[in-house]
Amino acid sequence: MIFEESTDNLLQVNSLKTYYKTKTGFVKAVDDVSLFVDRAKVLGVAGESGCGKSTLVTTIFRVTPRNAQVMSGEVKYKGQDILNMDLKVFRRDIVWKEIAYIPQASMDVLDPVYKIKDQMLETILEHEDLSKADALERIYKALENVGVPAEKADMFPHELSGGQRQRVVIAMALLLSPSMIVSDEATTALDVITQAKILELMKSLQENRKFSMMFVTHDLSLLANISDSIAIMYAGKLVEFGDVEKVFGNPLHPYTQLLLKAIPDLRYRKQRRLVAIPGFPPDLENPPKGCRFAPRCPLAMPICREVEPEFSRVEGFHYVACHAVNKK
Amino acid sequence: MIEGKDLRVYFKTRDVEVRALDGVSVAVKEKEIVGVVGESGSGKTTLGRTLLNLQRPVGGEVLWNGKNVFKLRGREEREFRRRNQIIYQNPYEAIDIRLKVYDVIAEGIRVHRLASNKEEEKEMVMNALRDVGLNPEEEYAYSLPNQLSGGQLQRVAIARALVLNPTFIVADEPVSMLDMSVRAGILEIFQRQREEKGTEILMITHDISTLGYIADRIYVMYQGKVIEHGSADALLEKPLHPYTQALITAVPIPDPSERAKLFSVKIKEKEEEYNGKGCKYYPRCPFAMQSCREKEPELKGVSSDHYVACYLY
Repeated sequence: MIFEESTDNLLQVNSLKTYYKTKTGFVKAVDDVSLFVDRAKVLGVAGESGCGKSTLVTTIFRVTPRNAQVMSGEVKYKGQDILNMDLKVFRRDIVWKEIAYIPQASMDVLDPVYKIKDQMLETILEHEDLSKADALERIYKALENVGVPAEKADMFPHELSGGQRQRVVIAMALLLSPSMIVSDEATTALDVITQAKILELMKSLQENRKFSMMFVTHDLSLLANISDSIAIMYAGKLVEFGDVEKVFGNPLHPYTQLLLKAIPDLRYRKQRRLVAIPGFPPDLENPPKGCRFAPRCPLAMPICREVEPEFSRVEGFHYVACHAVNKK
Repeated sequence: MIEGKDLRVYFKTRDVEVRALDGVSVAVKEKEIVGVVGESGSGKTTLGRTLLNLQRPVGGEVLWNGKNVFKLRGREEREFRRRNQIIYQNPYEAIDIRLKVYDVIAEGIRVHRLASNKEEEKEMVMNALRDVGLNPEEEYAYSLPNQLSGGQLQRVAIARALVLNPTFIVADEPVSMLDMSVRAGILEIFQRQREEKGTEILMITHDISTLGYIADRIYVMYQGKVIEHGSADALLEKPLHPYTQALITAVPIPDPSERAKLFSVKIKEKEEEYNGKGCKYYPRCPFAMQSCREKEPELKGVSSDHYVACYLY
């Protein structure tokens, strides 16, 4: 799929299908997903557990479990097809150097038996030919940039608080000045105040250093605050994709609309009740025919249970896959 | 009505004593949903456990309809256990995965001998399943926990508590593990239970925005202390304590035009060590004064339904 709105493309995902092989068939975890991230922009990817958002991330990083298979589609980074690149070259030239990853529960990814500086040294020396002294210099600077005093480099992870460890992981991701950061539920386990402070830090680093971010989370409210564009996934499908103002100001897919009614907003706590979405996500081994959201959708028409809706542009940078919208 | 008075729970490790509850008083009145909010380590879970006599305090008392719950014995204690229930954050850990849903719920009925025969027991279990929205109940009753989603399993955990006809429920982060789209459904069960049966509920959470939709009153805890409490309206519309203000500001608003707010949280990155005698919050408080370092402030009423422990007021 060609997106006209992509003006300075960095990462492009084209009709990607990643399935998990099981004894009885395939779980269609990512099923024909196309999206892009422009240079110095933030893409927010939202969806509930099991919608395929983590599979999307692990496919891009080529760290999917063994039973996963990329059935078709491609991922292009700076025009290069990174899924078919030699794995060794990919790990040496792309991972950390070009695209860095901040995983879920990331304050727990630090190795407890190595000092902070030794873990960071490893990252640098693995990829770059640099003297140890120069590398240390860079580490101290990197820590200070994320608001961690340089002397903490000599400490072990357990001597830091959760928020500080999270900052160390961010500093590590930025050590080799990548052009893109992918974060998967990076702030989910943090307390709200710490989360706000970490998001503020990530956003300001992103604006100053002009790297791109792909921010994956189930928390739509959070994405409203840091993203330029939003992609909503449901049951392995991309259902809505567009400019952040458009998706929040004028949500088109019934799933997006319902999700927004399900999340608390203290400004309107008296006017509106929280509404749950009835039903459950489908089994991705045998997804329903037609639109995958149809069984739970209040607007479902006969055609929705027969034909899969096409992912198409509504106006400007705003795409949706829904028969009810496309008909108008 | 259940009431905790000046509760103190201290945990000792080799060289430090952690004051999980440091003189906490709370009351949950009839038909009330009361929220307790605070960050991890603030003592909110310990408070819930102490109210249910699952944790002995070193000081203070819990009164259940006027009776001290730590002194209950025999029949009275069993009655207390039945009437006061808890729901945990993670239903996968709270439920025995080897039992069928039917037996998960029937276990309490059997322990307390609430049914005189099998038919009566079955009716109670099915009613409980229907009450928490698991339809068709026959189908759910005979499934195993691993066949259910997190939201469905949390409903089973709630049914297990409701089947005993509790007058008081502690719900410890009952929705934080669940997807956004199913949270509202779980909260509705609690609201309905309160309206139809008058059940008192203490909802423990780190997410103050959810409490805005469900709680009548809110207690804010910080490091073992209640630092502010009041009606949900007063506390959310006019938060007084700098910590409560930060807690509310830090909740992301689902609207891109409100971005500036999230990034305006006023809090100091902890620089000084706590000196052991002042307000617990002063090391992070942007408004800390000299007096804050010297003595801990007491809870003071600023109106009939709003109390705060802060020298600014």
